[in-house]
This record gives sequence, C-alpha cells and structure tokens, in this order.
Amino acid sequence: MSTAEQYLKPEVINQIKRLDLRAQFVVKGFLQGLHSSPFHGFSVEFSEHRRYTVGDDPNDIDWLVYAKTDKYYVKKFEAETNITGYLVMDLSESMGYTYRQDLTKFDYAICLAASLGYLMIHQQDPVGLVTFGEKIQGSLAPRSKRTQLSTILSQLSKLSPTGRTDIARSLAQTAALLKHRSLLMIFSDLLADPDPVLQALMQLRHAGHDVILFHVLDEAEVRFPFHGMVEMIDPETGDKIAVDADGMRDDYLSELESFRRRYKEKCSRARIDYVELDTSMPFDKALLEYLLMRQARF
Amino acid sequence: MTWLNGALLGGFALVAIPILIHFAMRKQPKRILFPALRFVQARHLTNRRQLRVRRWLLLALRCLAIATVVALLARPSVAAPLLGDWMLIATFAGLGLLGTLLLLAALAARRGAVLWLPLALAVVTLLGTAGWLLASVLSYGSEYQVGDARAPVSAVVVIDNSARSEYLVANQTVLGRAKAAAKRLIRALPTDSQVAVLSLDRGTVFWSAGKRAAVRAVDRVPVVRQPAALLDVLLQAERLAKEGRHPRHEIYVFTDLTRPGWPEEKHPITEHRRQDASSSLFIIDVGVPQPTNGTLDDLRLAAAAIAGAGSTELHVTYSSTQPRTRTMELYLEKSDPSLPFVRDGRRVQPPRVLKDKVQLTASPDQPARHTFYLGNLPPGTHHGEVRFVEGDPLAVDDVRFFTIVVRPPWRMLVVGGPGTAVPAWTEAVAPRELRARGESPFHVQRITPSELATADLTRTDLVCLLDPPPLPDDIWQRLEDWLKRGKGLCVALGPNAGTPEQWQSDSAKTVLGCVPTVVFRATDAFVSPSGYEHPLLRAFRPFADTVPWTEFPVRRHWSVDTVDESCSTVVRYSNGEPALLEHPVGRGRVLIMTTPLTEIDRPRGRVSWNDLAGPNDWPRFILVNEMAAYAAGAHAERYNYFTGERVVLPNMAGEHPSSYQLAKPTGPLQLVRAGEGKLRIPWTDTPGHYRLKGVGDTTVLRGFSANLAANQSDLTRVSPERLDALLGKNRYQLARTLDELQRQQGTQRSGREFYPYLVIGLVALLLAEQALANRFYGRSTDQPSDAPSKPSTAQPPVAASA
Repeated sequence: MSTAEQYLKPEVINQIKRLDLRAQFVVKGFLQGLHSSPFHGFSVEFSEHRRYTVGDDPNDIDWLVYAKTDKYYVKKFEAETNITGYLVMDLSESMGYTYRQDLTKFDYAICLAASLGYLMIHQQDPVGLVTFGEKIQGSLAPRSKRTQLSTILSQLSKLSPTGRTDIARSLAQTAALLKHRSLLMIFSDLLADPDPVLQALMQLRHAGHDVILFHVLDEAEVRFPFHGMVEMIDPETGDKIAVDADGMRDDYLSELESFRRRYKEKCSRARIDYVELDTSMPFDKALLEYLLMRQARF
Repeated sequence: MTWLNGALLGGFALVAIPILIHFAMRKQPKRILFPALRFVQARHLTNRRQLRVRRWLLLALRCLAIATVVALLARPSVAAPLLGDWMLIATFAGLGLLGTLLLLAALAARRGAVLWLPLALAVVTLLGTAGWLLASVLSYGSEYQVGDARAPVSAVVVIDNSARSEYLVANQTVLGRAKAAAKRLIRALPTDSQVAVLSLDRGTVFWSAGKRAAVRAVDRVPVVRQPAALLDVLLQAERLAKEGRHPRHEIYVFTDLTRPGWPEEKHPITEHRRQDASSSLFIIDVGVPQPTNGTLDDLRLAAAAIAGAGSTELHVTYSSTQPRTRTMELYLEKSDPSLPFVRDGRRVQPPRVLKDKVQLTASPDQPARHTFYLGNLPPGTHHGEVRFVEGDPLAVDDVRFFTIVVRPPWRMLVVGGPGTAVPAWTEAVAPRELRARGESPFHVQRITPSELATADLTRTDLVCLLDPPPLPDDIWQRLEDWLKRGKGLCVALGPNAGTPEQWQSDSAKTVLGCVPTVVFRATDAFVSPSGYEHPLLRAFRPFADTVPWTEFPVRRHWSVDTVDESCSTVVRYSNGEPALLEHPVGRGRVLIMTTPLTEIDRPRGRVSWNDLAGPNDWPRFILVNEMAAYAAGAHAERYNYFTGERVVLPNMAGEHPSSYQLAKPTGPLQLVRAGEGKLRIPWTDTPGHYRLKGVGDTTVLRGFSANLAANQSDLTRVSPERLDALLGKNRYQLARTLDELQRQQGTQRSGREFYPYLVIGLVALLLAEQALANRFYGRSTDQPSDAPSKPSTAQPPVAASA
C-alpha cells in the first residue's frame, strides 16, 4: 500500500489532527487508488427547464414557457451546470459514540464530509453545509471558491454532537431550504423511526434533488461484540436495558440487517444512493460513491 | 443401596454452592453506552426468557455435576441382582429430568398447550414410574446385604459327592478337586465366619465349630453311591443359611454340573429362590467340560427267579461318549456255603468263574447291545457280574452285579372240569420234552374237582381250575386259607360253571372277588389288552403291536361283577368286557379268565367258546405260562436292586430261617432278623453282592445284588439355560476357578458399584454444561475479542486548518 492510500484508513487519519490535511490526504489517497483522473469529463455545460414543484420560488417560473405550454416550468441558470453539493450533517448525541474505534461516528462523518468537500471544491463544484439536530442548526451556502473549503472545514471543526435528533423534520426543512437541484450528501446514523425519515427522503427526491445517504454506524453497532450480561444505555434518551449479550447477538444483528435492508430497498426504489458505513471502514467507499453519482448525472 | 463412603454424603450440601452463586452472588451487568438500543429493544423480551431458561438449565446441570461428584466419592453400590432395577430407575428419572427441563423451556417460551401438555404428561409418567420402581426396589431390595467385604458371613458349603465325583481328571477325582477348592475357600472366608458343610450323604445338618472344623468336615466327605438329590440338599442349605448368625448368607455349591444333579423336573428350589434370593449363591464348577466315559447300562434279566431248569438271558447295553471298542466279561461265582468268611481281618469271597467274554463297539449315538445266555444253573442263589476289562476315568459304571435264584419247579395242581381238554393247559406250562429232561418249571399234578377237597395243598404252589363246575363252600374256604399263605390260583371259567346263582356263596366271592352273572354271546370279540404294563403281560412287550389277537375270536365268555374293590381287570375283550381279572387274597393271588383256555377241540353239543387254543396259538401259550408264573409268585421275587433301595425279601416262617448273617460288599458281617414274614435290609448303599446265610440247623443261602442306577453316572453337562430356569437368572454366580469366585464374592459382598456409570454421567454432565455454556455465552470465532469498554461521547474533532 502506498503512503497516500493508507490515509484512507480511519486509524491512520486519526493521527492527523488538522481537518484540512485530513481531507487532503484522504482525497489524495483515494485518487491515487483510482489510477485515473476524476476531473476528466465532468465539465459539461448544462441548462434546462424543469417542472415547477412545491417549494420552488415562484419568481423562478419561466412565463414564456408557460405561455407556450400552459404549464409551469422553472428556469435553470447556467450556474447549475456544475453540481451543487450539500454536506448534511447529523449532530445528534448518538453520532458521538464509538465503542472501541479511534473515530466516533461523528469524527468519521466529518472526516468524510471534509474529504468530499475538498474533492468537490477541487472540481469547482459549489459545496454547502447543513447541520441538524432536532432541526436545522446551521447552514452554509454553496460556493465553489477555494476559500469555501476553509470555511466549511472551519465550520465542521466547531461542530459537536449533542442532544436528540429529528432527522425527518430536519430533512424536510433542508428540502425547503434548497432552491436549486442539488446533491445532498447526508451523514447520519439514522437511529430514529425510519418511516418519517424515508418520507422526508422521498420528498427530497420529488424536489429533484439527488441524495447520497451515508449511514454511518459504529463498528460495535454493526458487529455487537459484547459478552455476558450488559446493561445498555441509550445516550440520547437515557433508556436502559440489561441483556445477555451472547444470547442477544443474533437477534440484534438480524434486526439491524432488517433495518438496513429496508432503507436499502426504499432508497433503491427512489434512486437514492444508500451507503452502509461503519467506523472501521476505509473512506474510499464513500468517496467512490460520490464520484459514481456525479458520473451518472453527467 | 449402600454407600461405601457414607460419611461423604454430607457433600451433597455442596449443591447449594451454584444455587447460592446463582441467587446471592449474581454478577452485576456491565454498563455500556449503546445508541442502537432500538434494535435491542425489539427482541429484548424473548431474549430475557431464553436467558432465564439457560440460567436454570446451566444451574441444574452444575448442581447435578456436583451431586454426581459427591455420589462418585461416596461410592454407592447395590446388590448385583438389583443393578438392572436401579439402572432402570436411573433411566426413567433421567428422562423425567430431561423432560422437566424441556417443559420449563416450553413454558418459558410461552409455547402452546399442544407442546407442553403432552410434555407434562410424559414427565409425570416418567417420574411416577421411577418413583414406583424406587419404592418397590427399596421394599424388596432390603433383603440383600452389601457393604464391607471383610465382614463375617454365614457360609454353607455344599459338596456334590455323588458317584460321578469319582471321575478321574489329571490323577485327581472330581471330588478331590471339589474338596481342595472348598478348603481353600473356607480358609479364605472372613474371620469369625460361620461355616456348615453339607454333602449328598444324607448326614445331619449343623454349623461347624469353626473354620478348622469345617475343613476337617470337608476332608471327611465320602463318595456316596445313592446320594440325596443335590437340589434337595441345596434347599436344605438355603434354610440353614437363613438361620446363620451373621446377616450375610452365602452358599457355595461345588459340583461337576452334570445333568443328574440338576434334573429337568420342577423343583421347590426354583420357587424358593424366586421368593427369597437373599443368600448369595455361588456354583463352583469342578467338573470336566467334555468328559469321556463308557457306561455299562442297567442289566436286564429275562427272569431273576428260575424254576426247574436253570437257564435265563442277560441283556447288557454299552454306551459311550466317544466311539470305542471294549471287552466285556461275564463272571459267575461258585456257590460255596462256607463263604464268605473273614480271615485275618480280610474277607474271603467265593471264587468267580469267567463264563463269557465279548468285544463291543459303541459310539455316542449308537450304543452296543449283547445278550449273555446262562444255562444249567443248579438250584440255589447265583451271584455274577459283568465288567469291562479296560478302564476309563469313571470306574463306577464299568461293572454291574446280578443275582439269579434257581429254585425247584413249582408244584401245580390242575383241576379240570368235565369235558375239559386239560392237556391243552398242562402241555403249555410243562411240555412233555421239558418234563422228560427234568427242565420243566412246573411239576404238574392233575386231579378232579371232587378230589380237590382232599388234596394235599401244603405241598402245592399253584392250583389251576380249568372250566370248573361250581365248588362247594368248604373247598372255597380251604382254598382261601391256602391262598393267604402266598399261593396262587388260576381260574378259567367256561360252560361247566353252570348258573350264576351257584357262584354266589361268600366263600367263592372271597376267593374270586367277583361273581359270574351271565354268559355273554359276543360277536367279533377278541382279547384286546390296552397295554402291556402289567407284569403278567411283560413277555408280550417285545412284540406288543404284532400280537394277532384278532385271529383268535371269542364267542362266549362270562360277564362278571366285581364284589371286592381289590379285584381289578388286567385285560379286556374288544367289547370292553373283562377278560382277565386279578384278585389278591392275603399274600396269595387269584387270576380269573372269563373264557376257557382249553377249547382245543370242537366240543360236542355246544358252541366252541373261543379259538384261543388252536393252530399257531402262541399268544395263548405265552398267556398261560405267564398266568401260571405270575400266580405262582415268580414275578413277585426280586433279587436285583439299585443302591439305596430298601430291600424286602419274603421270609416265611417254617420255610426260611428267622435270622441271617448278612455279608455286604464291604464292611463287617451283620446279623439281620426277619419279622412279619419279611426280611428287611435297608443298607444297600454300596454296589455289589449282598449274601445272606441263614442261621439255623441247615445252611440256607440267599442273596441279592445292588447296582448304581445307570443314570447316576450320566456325565452330560447341564445347560446354562437349565441352571437359569432352576435357580433364577442372575440370582446365582457361576465360577470355574477360585479367582473367578473371589471376584464374584467381592461383587456380591460389596455390591455392584455405580462408579463407572457415575463417571460416565459426570463426563456427560460436564460436556453438556460446557457445550451449553459455549452455546449460550461462547464467543464467535469471527468476532474480535472483547476489548474494555471505552465509550466516548462526542468530542470536538480537531481544529480546522486556517
């Protein structure tokens, strides 16, 4: 393994404290592994009209087209020829968990988001940032300038996972927030009732946005490595359950698998990219997912 | 059940340890943060139930394992016969416990009644059966004494000292082997043990004064020719053992395990052992698995008492366990009134003369037979023997002794009715040729019925009334008195009998035991014996099925009514009417034929009553001779006995001396006295000749022989199945060597230990516990090791670059 590629490992990247360097090393490691330039073929001009949907600014309606077709179309600008990306970060307290890994789910997600932001800025794609807990807590408008990267990284480094989360509500708010067709890269552990979340995701899709859902779980949440009697405490709600970990493992894994399968099926049906991640996995999987998505769009 | 280390039973309290650990020292669960709790909550209820079942299951297994270890160290043992019962109980109880665990699991998992109801029924049935078996075993199992192997015992030693124990093997008799083994056994019995020695010589039964006395008693056990039944002695031993002063009773039987000792017939010992097998029974086989022996079977004499000319036939049979040719010799003793006598402490016997010699070859399935002819024997008592020249391991059946008495011809008075063909009778019993040579067994004197009143009956042995007319009472009275002295009367009724009323006198009834009632006009009737078991018909036995009675029809015969219960029918006609009747009168006997035996010519003026006397009338010839001999008392005389039989010889006052000097085959001479007309001799335990010399003015020599019954030397081994049937399967121990016996003693005294089964059970429990613990709490190999929990809450990651 080359030196750059090793930065794709969470335990290695953890040794680098500066987030910008982390992003840089991850992307470089990733690109070195691809053996081909990701920039090639992505600068395609693009302009179009699209059907007006609820949430669009009525000022954007192209009345000339309306006159011709008697239907509402929203006028797309040339600025949209580059993909506009939003890094949507879950700030719930559960994201700050790890059992025995070097990075918490939140660290992992931030590292990943930084890398994707780095990648996009270098592709001259505008990148914005949305953070949410029970509601949207902060946002950064997308820009493609070089300074945008440092702004995003600065913003990310200040984030801290606290409190409870309402993913569905936050996503609905995000959908209302976006005026243009964008690529939403959502980083969350999705530990909430899946039905509203899926509904919100569908809403995003209906608004014409592309969505990549990075489902970030801790390695312990994926493997359930506990033994004997354990009392488990939910950090968000404070709920406690004493279980026989060995007897529970199969049931837990089955339940998790069922949960993931449900997301996978629903997302697949809605053409949402659902990416299963855990904190022990290298970052390239997430980056590759992004590039594949971009390639599919152009 | 007995615990060899009973003090360790307190260790069962250790079972409380896992229970205490389970309840009191339950480990507090490790607390960890886990955001994905929602996935755990979904299955938590099921998991909690399973966890509870697993805990109880493991707790039960651990308690059982500890209990098994304690039981293992305490070493439980049970009487060997009860081992099967205990194993059955353990099986039922084990299945019941397993069912209980499954039932608990089903209840914990809240399965439907379809599953747990049959399970509950099965558990109740299994545990109930185990409890019932346990109760019954505890009730009847208390009879068995197990425990300390060195505790004193009440032991009864039974030695099979039958004649078969003289069998020689490796220059030692089987009895010698039995004695040696018995002595070693007695010496090895625990100190202070009580010992009794029993054998088959019908001695008194008592406990010996000690082990030394018991050893001396074993030394004194002789070979007995007429032994008591081994099973009877064994029954005696069982009863004696029960009276022993020690709680543990043991019976040791040293036997050659040959069939005569263990007969096929039912015996009370079977029921006794079935009801009470508390005495440990050890059968020690001192015999030979495949004995080799040739046997001279019981001799068969055509007649032991010969009248007139002294000639008879002696039939011998030689059987062998393997094909072998042997020389057989026939000896006769020279009669010498002066012998035997004792000179210089030694008995001088009459010399014996070799009369015949023959070589015979026998095989296991083909015995050899031979007939010796003995003729020209002078009147008197003759002793002889048949013996093999070559020896074999069992000598006692290589020789057979016999005694023949040659006496003067019987004096027969023949009384013929009017028109009776008397020669048809006299020529049959005393043919002219034999009379001429003086060899006729009967001396015949012919008289008329009227002469009977004055005839000298004192010198007559037998009176024959051939188709007699009715006789006056005084003659019947005279005949009755004469018969009571042991004489014989033959009566053949016929047309001269007149009317039934003429036979109704009390005197006639007393003699005949029956009265003629009517002349029966028979059609197609003939003499039809139903069998030939009666001694009178013995001569017909060799050709019983071929006697042509149908060729000799009977047209007329008297029908009779018996007036005395002792009057019995010997032979009937084919129409069911009595043909020949026998009536005892005092010591004498009367034979009544209901049709004449002298209808040799066609009579004038009447129908011939039968064709019995005609051409080829050999059945009548034999019948007449046998009737005459039987009535004369020839069949009543017996001179050849089996050892152990009580010999009774007729001894008429006036004819025989009142006392005799008895010379047995061995031992000193004895004086025996006659009483009530009989000479009784009970001491016949040794095979050989028994000589009687009358003490009186004239020397009277009498005697008889005693032989070991041939079946007493049968060396065929008894089958294990027969032993099981007699003594009860698993209710006795069979040993061939003392080492084997000692092992079985140890098992019987200490009981059968559960040690190996408990070890297996413990291993199974530990394996089950380990397997279940691994199954419930084990780590999957594909999972990483459990690192210490280090939950970390969200931390500010890192500072962003400028």
